[in-house]
Amino acid sequence: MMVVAERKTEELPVAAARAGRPDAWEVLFKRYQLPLYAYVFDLARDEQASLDIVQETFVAAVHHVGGLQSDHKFGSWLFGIAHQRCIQRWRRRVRETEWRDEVMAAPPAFDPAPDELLIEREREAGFMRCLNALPAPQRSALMLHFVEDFSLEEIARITDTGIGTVKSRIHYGKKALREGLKENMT
Amino acid sequence: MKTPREILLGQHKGRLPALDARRCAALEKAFGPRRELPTSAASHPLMTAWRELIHPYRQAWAGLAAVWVLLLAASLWPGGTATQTAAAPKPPPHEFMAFCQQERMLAELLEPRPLPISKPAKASPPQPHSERRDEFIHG
Repeated sequence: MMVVAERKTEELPVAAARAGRPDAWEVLFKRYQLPLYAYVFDLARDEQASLDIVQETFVAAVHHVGGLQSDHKFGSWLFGIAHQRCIQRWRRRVRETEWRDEVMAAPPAFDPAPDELLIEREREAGFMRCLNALPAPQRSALMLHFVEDFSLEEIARITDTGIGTVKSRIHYGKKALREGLKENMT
Repeated sequence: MKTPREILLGQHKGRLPALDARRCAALEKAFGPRRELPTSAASHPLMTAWRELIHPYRQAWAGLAAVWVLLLAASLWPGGTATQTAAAPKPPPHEFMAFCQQERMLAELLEPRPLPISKPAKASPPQPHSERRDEFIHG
């Protein structure tokens, strides 16, 4: 059973968080922590770094909530902060090592949870393999689309790209994913 | 069949304890050491009653209150029913007396009377069953 609530139907205490209530922030962070981590991990590919980025994102969100234009865009705004943090970290790392090339060249495969059924595990692992085989921009757009069902406009804002680019990334990403899954099945 | 979202999040659900810790750390960093919320006030019976009974049905309660206010206003209004009854002319004394008498009689009729205690029958010699027979014997 999944612990993450479905989006779009929920009411989030964004106004209370704006008013500086820690309990409201707690609710918001609890709601977004796992999807945010999944997205950040996809970009950073490092568990500790991803946890750090999630924490930094939370702190930054509390400090810069004045920059949030409308309450219903809280999710995409939070993911946007995380995305920027990832890029900052990535740039820092690139300056130091050749980390980026390694990540782009050979993305590590996920290990599915051991308690899953074999068939489920194979299917999920196949899905993850296909997703990981996609170019990073396509994967990012698909992650945001799948995990939080963000609109094209929201994904464009988070990833700081045009709507047309996001649309094409999702389209080609889905196409490649479908073909990859078909190959896996045969 | 799981959705892509479920698969993607399922890959990381093992990180939830670490994420909980990071969330608490972030909140501490942003707001300072955590203070306990005043739970005693929230769990007060009056607060509980408010949360469970009144707040969810506040429109119904408001409607009921409005009806009561209207009733109260109607009864306190100078031309209202209470003053009308008060201002009604008193019946003449003889009618009042007759009414009292009727009431008393009714009370007497309805009053449960003590049942007569049945006395045991006196021991008496057996009486003749028929006078004709008596006449016949003595005759």
